[in-house]
Amino acid sequence: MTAEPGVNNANRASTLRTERLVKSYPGTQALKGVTLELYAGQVVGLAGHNGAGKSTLTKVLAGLEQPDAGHIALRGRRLALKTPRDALDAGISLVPQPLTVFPDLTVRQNLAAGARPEGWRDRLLDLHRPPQIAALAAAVETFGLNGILDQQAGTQRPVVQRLIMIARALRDEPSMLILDEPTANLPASESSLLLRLVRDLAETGVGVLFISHRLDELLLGTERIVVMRQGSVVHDGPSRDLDKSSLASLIVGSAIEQVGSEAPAHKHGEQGKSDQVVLETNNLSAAPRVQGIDLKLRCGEIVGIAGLEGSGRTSLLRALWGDLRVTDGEVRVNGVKRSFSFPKDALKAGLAFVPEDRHRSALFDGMSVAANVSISVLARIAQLKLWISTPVERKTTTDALRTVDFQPLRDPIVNGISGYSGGNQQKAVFARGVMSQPLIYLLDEPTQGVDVGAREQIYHVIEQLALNGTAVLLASSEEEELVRLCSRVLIMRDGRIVQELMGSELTESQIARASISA
Amino acid sequence: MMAGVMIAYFAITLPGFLTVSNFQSLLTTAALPVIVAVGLTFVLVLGDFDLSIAAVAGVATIIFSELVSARGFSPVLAIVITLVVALFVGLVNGTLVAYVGLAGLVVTIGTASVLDGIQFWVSGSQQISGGFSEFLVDLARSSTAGIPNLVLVAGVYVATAWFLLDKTVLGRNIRACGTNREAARIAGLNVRRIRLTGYMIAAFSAGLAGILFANRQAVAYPLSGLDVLLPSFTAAFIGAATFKMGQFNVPGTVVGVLITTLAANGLILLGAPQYATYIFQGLILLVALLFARVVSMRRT
Repeated sequence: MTAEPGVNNANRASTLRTERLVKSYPGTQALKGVTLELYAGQVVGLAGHNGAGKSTLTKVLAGLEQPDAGHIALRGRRLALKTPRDALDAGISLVPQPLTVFPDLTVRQNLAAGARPEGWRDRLLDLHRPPQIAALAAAVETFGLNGILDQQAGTQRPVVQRLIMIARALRDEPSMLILDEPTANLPASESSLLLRLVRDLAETGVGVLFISHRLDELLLGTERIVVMRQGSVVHDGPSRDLDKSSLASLIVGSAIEQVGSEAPAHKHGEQGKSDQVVLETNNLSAAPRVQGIDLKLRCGEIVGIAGLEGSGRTSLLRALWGDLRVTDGEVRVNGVKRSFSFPKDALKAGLAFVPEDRHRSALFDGMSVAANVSISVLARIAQLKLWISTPVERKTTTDALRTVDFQPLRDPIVNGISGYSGGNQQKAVFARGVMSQPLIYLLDEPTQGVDVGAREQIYHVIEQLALNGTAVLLASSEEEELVRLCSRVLIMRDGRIVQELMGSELTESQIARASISA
Repeated sequence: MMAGVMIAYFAITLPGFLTVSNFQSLLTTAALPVIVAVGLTFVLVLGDFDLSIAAVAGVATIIFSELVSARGFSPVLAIVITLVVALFVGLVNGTLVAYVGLAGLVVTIGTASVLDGIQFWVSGSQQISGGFSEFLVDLARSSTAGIPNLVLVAGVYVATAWFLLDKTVLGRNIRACGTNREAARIAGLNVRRIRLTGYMIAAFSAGLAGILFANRQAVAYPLSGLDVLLPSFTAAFIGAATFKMGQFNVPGTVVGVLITTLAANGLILLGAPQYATYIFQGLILLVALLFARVVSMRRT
């Protein structure tokens, strides 16, 4: 689907070309044959929703991931980018989204760090030498960093830190610069400064691939916009031909809209519902990621939380779970005001939490299935609250595992959790919640990294929990999941709930559209 | 297997090796290091380090001896005071590591040095002798039904520690914190308090061993207490390498202590020079580390 290329391309040599790039991960095809041409001196915006394939594409271009098929060519020469070093040597430089300056070094030292040494003097002394590479000196000049070269990098404003990162990337004199959400978390005035500098940079002949979620930035700051959806390029054309709403439609996709509106099927989230409010928050804040959240959750209701990466979905759940310090507002469980300083307080009040990133935040990999399930309620099932009776642990955990349809192959007391599939491990984490008979489940990306079959089973588990009267708060980056399970979905942006979708409005495209802009 | 090879080699080359009396002396030698090493195991399970255990044992020996010998305290009171001091050291170590967030390795090097200094201070840099409770000294040196009393004490201690680590809520929580600290916190465990408890168990064990050592010797010199630091780590890693697929565990540590004691004993009987013992101790620790690593990698 290569549309008409951007402005004045006839006069430009194609700098970087990707040819039918394909990349699959277990369970998803992240890139489905991406063909793209990038030109020297042109700022190209790359837009797309969560999971559209933007970050996979940048990873492949930067040598962080290998494509399964297809290739990358620079000025007609095919490249084999096996490592980030290969990409740098080829002239492709990635500035990643997180701010990664060395906070304790000076700006100058930051600019020099990692420079390729020329001779033994550089090897020993490079940190204290002024930057001598022409491109870098020019960048320092352009970005107005000269006056602050000897100040500590960590004390600089985020926009300056971003500029340091860009200047550092320029040191390798790349012909192609990839900026992954360089304006994330920047106030509007500073992001427009950054945009201007990026355009100046392109004037010097560097090609720029600019990734952003902010539509007006893409429209104003780029010459050409490429939109990706579900692993494919769905649009590639001059920015001036687009406006905010047409760009939003391209990102969200009209095809999905129809599917969404055709399927207003009954919501499981409503069957076990009653009017009793089990969880209520008033102006709940956990600065800076959660700001003034008001929500009400009723018995048997499944309520979704949608929003882009960094919108505060996870932070809201963590604040409710006592794992993030609440700075303002209140939480009520069954009408009683509660404050949770630690997860165990939330646990006692009747909450259960299934965190995202199971391996990092939920699983005890070297331990048994039973130990993974019983960990939160050990004192409750232990004799005199001290020692653990194996028969009691076996029975209670087996019961909990049965409610989530997980049948361990052997005695759960001795059977290790690590041999099981992602889906079964996730069910064990659900079962951990079941053990404490919670009133409220907080779920963060509950089907992350589980295969398609297990995904259905986990949906079933969630629906069963709700049918039994448990309230469920479900944060997810997958619109399909939210539409499928939830009776209403709260949209978060910059730490706030900005919209609530229910009934006929609750479609995948509406969620996506509401997430990206007002 | 390593133990089997060693026993076979020593049995063939050393006529005095396979005798009841040598095994009795072997077990007696191992008894106190076992208590210290088992305590250290809790800290290691938690993923922390404690390099102050030998210094805690040493300071316990000196304080107990000074109290009963020079100050005329009753043995019971002296034991209680010494154990409280040991627990206090564990409290300091654990607080600095778990609550303040300092690196356990460095913190415990620091406390170890402080405790070494205290040994000279309390004893006035003198040998402490005389005035020990004859009853306790006799108890520490005699046997019941052919088994040395210290071995019995160590046996009871090991059984208790095994039960604590494998069968209780605290032990399971310790194991969970050591396996995945982040997940443990999110699952609602008080990770900091659990890590603190680990340091207190290690210090208590070292203190107890130090008191028993004082009664066995009935004489104490500063900085000449139980030499247990290296052997305890070696033992724990041998245990992790041979039992339970790379995880630290109480029975494994006990076997590890027996192996290291056996090796040291055999080297002495062989007439190996002093330097060989040091070299051997260091090498066996490195080999045990390597094996524990290989075993735990094979598991994943």
